[in-house]
Amino acid sequence: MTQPTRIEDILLQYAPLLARIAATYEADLGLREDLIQDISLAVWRALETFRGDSSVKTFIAKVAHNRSVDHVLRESRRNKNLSNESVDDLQNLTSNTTNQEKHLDLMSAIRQLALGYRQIITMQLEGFTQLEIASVLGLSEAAVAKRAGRARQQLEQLL
Amino acid sequence: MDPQFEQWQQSFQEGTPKVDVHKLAMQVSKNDKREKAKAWIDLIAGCCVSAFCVYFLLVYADTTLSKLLVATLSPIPLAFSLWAFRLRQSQSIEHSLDINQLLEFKRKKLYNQVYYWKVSAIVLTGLWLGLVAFAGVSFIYQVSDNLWLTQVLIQTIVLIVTWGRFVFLKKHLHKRITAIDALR
Repeated sequence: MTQPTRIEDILLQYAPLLARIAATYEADLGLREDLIQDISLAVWRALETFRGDSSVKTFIAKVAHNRSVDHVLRESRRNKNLSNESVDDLQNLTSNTTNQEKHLDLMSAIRQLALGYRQIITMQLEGFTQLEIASVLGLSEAAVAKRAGRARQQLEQLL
Repeated sequence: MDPQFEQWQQSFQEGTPKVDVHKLAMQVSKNDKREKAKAWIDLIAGCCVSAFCVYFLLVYADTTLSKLLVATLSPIPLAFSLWAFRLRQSQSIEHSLDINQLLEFKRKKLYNQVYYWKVSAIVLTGLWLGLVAFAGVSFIYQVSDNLWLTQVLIQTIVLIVTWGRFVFLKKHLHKRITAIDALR
């Protein structure tokens, strides 16, 4: 199997996960595409040393979040304000009920959460249990539950 | 799981951005090859420089001191290239995902980076002073050997670049640390 095909197999399965994680860190479409590429490359290279001590999905999510935080740091050094939405996104934070705007509302709201809360809520929305999140983050399950509760409260307020 | 969270989950999944997987795979493959090529170019360049030093040692170095100096310096480019090659090839260890620990790791990395360039600048300054001394001795005794002068000139450029890099990193350190702390 050629290398592009193997990469394609991995991405076919996990590209949606990577895209969702990237969307929770970056609102700008162009930068988000760059971020997805960066994450995909990091995932591809990191998989060569995957030891199987967690699920592949967990491992990939870890790489994706790490790269996304790097991205946030790089962009903040360029004085881009990532916590504020673009004008278009802000205008969409209304009480409209169409599905597309609901999606944008949720993503926009998630982007406004502090990074620690954003990680937890994103992983929960991806279907990770609190036990899995705790083992990945190196936290106790109680700490994860506490952060998840606060993250949810903040998200409810934003929505 | 409660109904609201389930609704959020559904909305989250439905909001997945569209990705052209084939195009992304081609791009990843291309970038991967480029990174690997850079790593090999680094390694080959280091080998070539070390090989040139050995050649110089065998063919041109005629005094014991010059032979000693070149012999001491010749493995350095190869060693540095090997280190850079392994660094590029090796995968970064995926540290704990917890944000606070990750940000703390990044803080330490920044401080280590500045320290590395500081030490490099100091060591190179010592080396430069030694070369200047040898060039001075050659000049005083009117030894018709431009080797030392050439080395001093080349080393001066390297020294300026190294100190420049250190000063730049030191100057921006506070701003970068502040940016990290703002994310906590």
